[in-house]
Amino acid sequence: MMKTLLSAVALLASSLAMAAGPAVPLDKAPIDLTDKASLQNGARLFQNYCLGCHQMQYQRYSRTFADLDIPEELGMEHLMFTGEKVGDHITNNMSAKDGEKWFGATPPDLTNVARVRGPDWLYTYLRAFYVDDSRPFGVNNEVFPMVGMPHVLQELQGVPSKTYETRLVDGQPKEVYVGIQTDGSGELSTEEYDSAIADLVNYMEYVGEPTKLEAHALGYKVMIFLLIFFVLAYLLKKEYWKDVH
Amino acid sequence: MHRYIIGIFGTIPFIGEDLTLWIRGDYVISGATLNRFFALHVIALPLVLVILVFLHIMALHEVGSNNPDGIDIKKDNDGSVEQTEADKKFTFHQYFTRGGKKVIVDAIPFHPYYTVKDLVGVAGFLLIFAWVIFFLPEGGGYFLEPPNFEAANPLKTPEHIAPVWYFTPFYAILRAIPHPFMGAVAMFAAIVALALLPWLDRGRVRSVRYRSGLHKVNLINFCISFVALGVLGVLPAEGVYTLLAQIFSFTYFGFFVLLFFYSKNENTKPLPVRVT
Repeated sequence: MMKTLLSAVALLASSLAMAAGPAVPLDKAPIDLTDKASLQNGARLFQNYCLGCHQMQYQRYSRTFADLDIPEELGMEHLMFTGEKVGDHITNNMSAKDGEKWFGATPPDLTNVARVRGPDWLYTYLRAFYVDDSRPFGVNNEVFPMVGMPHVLQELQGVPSKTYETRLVDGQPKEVYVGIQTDGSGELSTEEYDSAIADLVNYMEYVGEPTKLEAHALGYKVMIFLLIFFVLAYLLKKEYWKDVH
Repeated sequence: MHRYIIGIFGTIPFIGEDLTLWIRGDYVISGATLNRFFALHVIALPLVLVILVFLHIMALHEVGSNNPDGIDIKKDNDGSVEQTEADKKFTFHQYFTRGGKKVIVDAIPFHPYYTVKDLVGVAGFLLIFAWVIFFLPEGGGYFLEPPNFEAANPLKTPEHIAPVWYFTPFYAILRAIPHPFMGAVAMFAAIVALALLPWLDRGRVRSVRYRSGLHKVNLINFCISFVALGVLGVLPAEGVYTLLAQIFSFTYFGFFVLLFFYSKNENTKPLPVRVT
């Protein structure tokens, strides 16, 4: 009884926190859908760090390989770990029920997450974990407070914690929050980590709408055709209406 | 969203509770509610649209189109009006001719004049549509809202319930009035008032070209109020936004009230005899 009550309160608190929107201003994600190397690195990071819990159940391996210029043999060797076929969807074997039991909420499918949250949110969120011993996995998140997700990329970033600086505020020395800083124990430097996250977000943005670049390329042609058609239709109208005016 | 729309009926005094139960078909939003809302939106509303299109075309055949001058073109031609170059090219329906001569003045055939003219409009709108389809499908979250990219979960209410952007002017009016039932009444009145315009506008002059300066000012007031309410409907209802929404709701309804009183004896310019 007490447990359900507590979880209800926690749920309410988290939903209230979410209703208020992200507490921190979002950083602009430096992504570029035409950068194939960045997208490939993003796919590598996703397969290695995210797929354990999050699926991309509406995206097929073959689609990713074709769009990212990854040869199928190389892709099957390095990006597919459990004997799937190249035409399979990018799924894992974790049941939704277990996910809910383990993390408090089923890890959401990430196929369209970039269109739900936006790339800037993802970019900031993945760089906003910090040490918080009161949480079950020892980390909390500035963008998504009380999130159930552990800091999966810790081996890359190192141990991030909120850092404070003593600054003079109105002549008084005060502890001022300056942001999240890592202890440097990760494989990547801060710049390299930011760039890796940008690649990952770039990949998720691509998966959210794989045809975006094609749509843009086609869109210009269609717009030019319609512009010419508009001018011709207007001239035709002028010609017909000569008698009337 | 539907819970909120049904909730509007719940604000009606005395019968509200029972009415919402009757609309939902259940004590909660359920399969029964989904079924009847599906039927309403997929069968009933399209039927209403078809009937409105039918009525529109019948009315068009009866009274004809308006023109920028807003004057009647169905005047008997006693022979004083010469046949124009355009008239000689076409055979008019006997309803419009007497002895081979056109009897209504200043009319031209729909085809080819308006088919050709509408082609320009079609091209213009296609340009806008193509731009949205290829470059702006989500429209910043207004055309395709972010929850559309998540699997539906009946147990999880979205973080923010906001109406679609083209309903926001009326939504702003609903929120501007503190009393829930009066808010709902005001919202529906804002829509019904538009349908009542032919009776609210008691003027004889149809075209804005020959109407008074007061009318033009009032029209500008209406446009500003409508757009401002649309913007306010997207913003949260708090502090100065609520006050602004109340002011613009007042000016929105003020347009109709003012129109009713000044249009009877409006200081209009003289109408031309024929289309200029």
